[in-house]
This record gives sequence, structure tokens and C-alpha cells, in this order.
Amino acid sequence: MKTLPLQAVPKGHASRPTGYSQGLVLLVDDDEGIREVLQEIIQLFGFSCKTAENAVDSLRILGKERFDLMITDIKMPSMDGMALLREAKRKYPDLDIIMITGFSTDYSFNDVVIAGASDIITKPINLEEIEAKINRVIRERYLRKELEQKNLQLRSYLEDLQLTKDRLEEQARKLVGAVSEIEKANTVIERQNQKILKANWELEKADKMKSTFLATVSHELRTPLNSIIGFLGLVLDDLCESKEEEKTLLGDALNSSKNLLFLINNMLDLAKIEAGKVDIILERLDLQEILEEVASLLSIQAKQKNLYLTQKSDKVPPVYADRGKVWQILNNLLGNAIKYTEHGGIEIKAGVCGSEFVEIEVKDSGIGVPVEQKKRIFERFVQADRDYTRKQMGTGLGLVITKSLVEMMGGTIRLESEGEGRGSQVFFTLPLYREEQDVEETSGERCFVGFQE
Amino acid sequence: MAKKIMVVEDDPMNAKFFELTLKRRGNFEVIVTEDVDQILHLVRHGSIDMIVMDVSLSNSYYDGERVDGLTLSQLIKKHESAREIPILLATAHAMKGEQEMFLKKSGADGYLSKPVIDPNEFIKKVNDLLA
Repeated sequence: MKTLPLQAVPKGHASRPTGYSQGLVLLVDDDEGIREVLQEIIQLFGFSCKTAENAVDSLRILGKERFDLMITDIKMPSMDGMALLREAKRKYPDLDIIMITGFSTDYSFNDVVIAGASDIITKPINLEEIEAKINRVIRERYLRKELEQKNLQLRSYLEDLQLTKDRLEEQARKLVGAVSEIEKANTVIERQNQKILKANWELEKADKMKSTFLATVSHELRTPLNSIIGFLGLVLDDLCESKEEEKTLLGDALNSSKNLLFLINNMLDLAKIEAGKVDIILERLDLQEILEEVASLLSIQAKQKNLYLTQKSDKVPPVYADRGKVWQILNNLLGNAIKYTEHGGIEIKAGVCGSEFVEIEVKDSGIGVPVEQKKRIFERFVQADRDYTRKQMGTGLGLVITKSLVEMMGGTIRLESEGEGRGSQVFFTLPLYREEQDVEETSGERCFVGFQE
Repeated sequence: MAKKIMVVEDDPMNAKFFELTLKRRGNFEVIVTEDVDQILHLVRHGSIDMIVMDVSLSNSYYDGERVDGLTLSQLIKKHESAREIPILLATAHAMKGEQEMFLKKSGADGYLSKPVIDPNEFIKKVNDLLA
């Protein structure tokens, strides 16, 4: 038995830091005596310890179990400790290895450390040193493992965080998308609200207009009825002073009845226009001929009031329009002109206007139209804010109908007047007849035109 | 002496009807006018006993502005000397609520809707207002 190169005996202080599990140590030494003593000591420190007597043996044992630490002599026959260190580190990089070196070795400390040793113990072996070094290596090993564990955990946390982050980003993206969808939807809703508000406002306006219309209609029908009923009553009750007066009153009642009929017809016409139930039959019309016919017919009425009615145009080109409606328009306009003219007379003129229209002008020297009413004269029910200073219908309705008819045939109408007492001019246009319309003309083009606001 | 009634009416046929009816059925003296200056003069100095006033007027101006029968009634009622003259609104405006609105707005004393179906009732209304 060789003398142990020991300097001190272990003194019961071989407790390991709490919290470490039992470490497993492989002790490699070719000297059986040293092996036995060191094994005992290491076990005394609290570690499990197995032994091997050479490098080959030790590599075999390392292959069977997981060791925490190998303590090996550097000087051994055949394969030396350095070769073992390198081979073991190659196979088990995780294994801690403490090298025991003597005074005469071929390797420097640096060589040993570079080769991967965790520590070096020099002979003669000091027990406190070996205990401290084993403890330090084991502790560092555990700390390292813990650290690795924590690192793994952290990495996994990090991965989780990354996943969460990705999910959040995805959700954020979706939210942004959803927000923009909502904003879009809001815009649509907002726009629809606006439309509803507008429609509502228009309905209210239409409703108001209808009420005004009803009130006006009621008023206009009642007015001639009052004189009709009144005059008939006077005649029936024999309250006339003479036969002549009786006749006059009956004639007045008849005229009022005719006015009433005219009014009712106008209102029916307007109702038809409003309901879009007016048939327009477009065809080639000899406007010159129509103007002459209308003028000669109405000049009788004009003569009764000592007014002249002259038709001044010549060779007016044909138009593409509805015969009956053109008659109605001219009749309305000339009728108004005669009605509102006391001195002078009425002129009709027509001529080509641009490349597509003929413009017809009806000019009178009558009472004219106040400037502020020029625009409103073609409006239907007049303003909602009703005052009672004006008869709102009568001829007014006729102009509304006239305007609608002109527009249904593709024309426009306007009124010019220098003011009250200074006469007025109404201009309206009708589309020129063109050759290519011949094809459509066979039986006249039938349009079903609604009234445009 | 016959009571003097002023008829303010813009429709010539209606004016004629009121004039004849008041004269023949009520033996009143009748003045027909729609001229505001003349109306305001007559109510102060013309010993007018009553006014039959149309509401829709088309040819009556006051201070250059067109006035209706409601405004005209207000103007008449403003005059100390004319305040006591009863005004009967005679109108073809006969929609629901118009009677109340007209009377309130004009300060007039009575309301008659056109057409006048029963002339005797009209004359009675006039006499009631004159009483």
C-alpha cells in the first residue's frame, strides 16, 4: 500500500450546500490505494463515488450512467489523463472533470484548462482543497444547470411572449380593420341618415304644399260659386229691378260657371301631370300653320276687348311635338295675354333658336308681372308662408300646366317683364323636327312622361 | 235712415253679389271699394255703420305694400273713431281653423264663409252685428 499523499484528515465538515441533489462522482486512478482512500473521502463529503482504474474502464463506466464529476489522475499507463479528459469531454461535454496532477507532468495548467478541465488539484492532495474544489465544481454545475433551466424557461417564456405578441398584433390588425369597417359603416349610416332627413324634410314640404294646395283649391272653387249661387238666388227671389238686370245676373252666373269649369279642368290637368298620366304623342308638326290657326281663333276674343292680335312669323320650320299640347300651350298663353291686357294688343313671333329648337314668343302690352314674382309665376302651390293678398290660382295654374307641357316635349319656358304695367313676354321652345325622326314618326312616338320637379 | 255698409272685395262678381244682396235683401246703403286710402277715410268720416271685408285682396295697397283683409281690419281697428264699426269677414277661406285664426289676427267681429248659401242668414248676421 502506498503512502497516501494526504495532508489532513477530513473533519466532519463535509456537508454540501443545501439544495443540491446527491452528486455522482467517478474517480479514476491506477493506484488502487489512492482510489480506495479518495473514494472513502469523497463519500464522506456526501457524494456517491464510483471508481475506475484506467481510462478505458472509465469511459465504459461513463457510458452506463450519468456522472456529475470525474476526478482523474493525469498520469496513468497506456491512455493518460489528458487523453481521457479530451475523449470524455468529446463524448460528454457536460461532464465536469477535475484533474489531479503531480509535479512532473508533460502538461501545463493552461493545457489542462484549455482541454476542458473544470479544475486542477495538485499533489500532494490537501483534503480541504479537494473538498472545496469538488464542492465548488458541483455547486457551479448545479448553478449552471439551474441557469440553463431558467434560460430554457425564459426562452419558452420569450417564445410564449412572442406568440402572444404575434396574436396581439394580429388582433390589433383585425381591430384596426374592424375600426375602419365600423367607420365605413358609420359613414354609410351617416349618409343614409342625411338622406332620410332630407326625404323627411321633402315629405314635410310636400305635405305642407298639399295642404296649401287644398286650401287654395277650396278657396278658388268657393269664390265663383258664391256669385253663381248669389245671382241665381236674386233672380229666383224676384229681386231684380228689370228684365235686363235679370238677364245680366244670369249672364254673370253663367260666366262664373264657365270660370269654375275652366278652373276644374285646369286642376284635373294638373292632377294628371302630377300623377304622370299625360300622354305625349310626338310627331312632325307644321308650326307655321298652327300659329296661324290659333291666332285667327283667338283674335275674335281679342277684338271683343279692342285689342289687336298679330301673328308676325313666316315660314317657321316644322317642330317635333304633340299637336294637342302645343294648342293647349298657345291657347293658355294667348288667353292670359288677352285677359291681362286692356290697351294695345298681343304679338306672336317664332324663329329658329340654335340648332335644335324653335322659340315662340307671346308678347303683350298688358299689366305685366312684378319683378319679385317673375320667378314664382311658374310655381305650383306658391310659398308655404301664405298671405292673403293674392289670388294664387286662376291663371297661375294655367302657367304651371303650360310649363309642364313645354318641358314634357323637351322645351323650356321663361317670362320677361319690365314690371307692373309694362307688358310681358313669354318665350318657350320646341324641338326642331329632323329628317331622321321620320322613322319613328309612322304612328307618332308615344311617350309616357312623368312630371319632373 | 238706411244703415251704410262698406263692402271691401276685389272680385268684381263677388262685390256685385254683396252689393245687390245687401241693398235688395236688407235695404242697406252700400259702398264698394278696395282702395285703402278711401277705406280709411270713410271709416273716420263717412258714417259707415258696418264693413263686409274680404280676406284675399289683390289690389289693395298700404304704404306701397299689398295688404289683405286681415291687416286692413287691424288698421281700421286702430283708429279711435273707427274702432266701434263692426267688421264681418266674408271669405272663401273656409278650411278648419281659419275662422278662429282670422278673427284673432284681424280683430274683426264676425266671420262668414263663401259661398253664401242662405242670403237671409247673411242679412241676419249683418243685422246682429249692427244691433
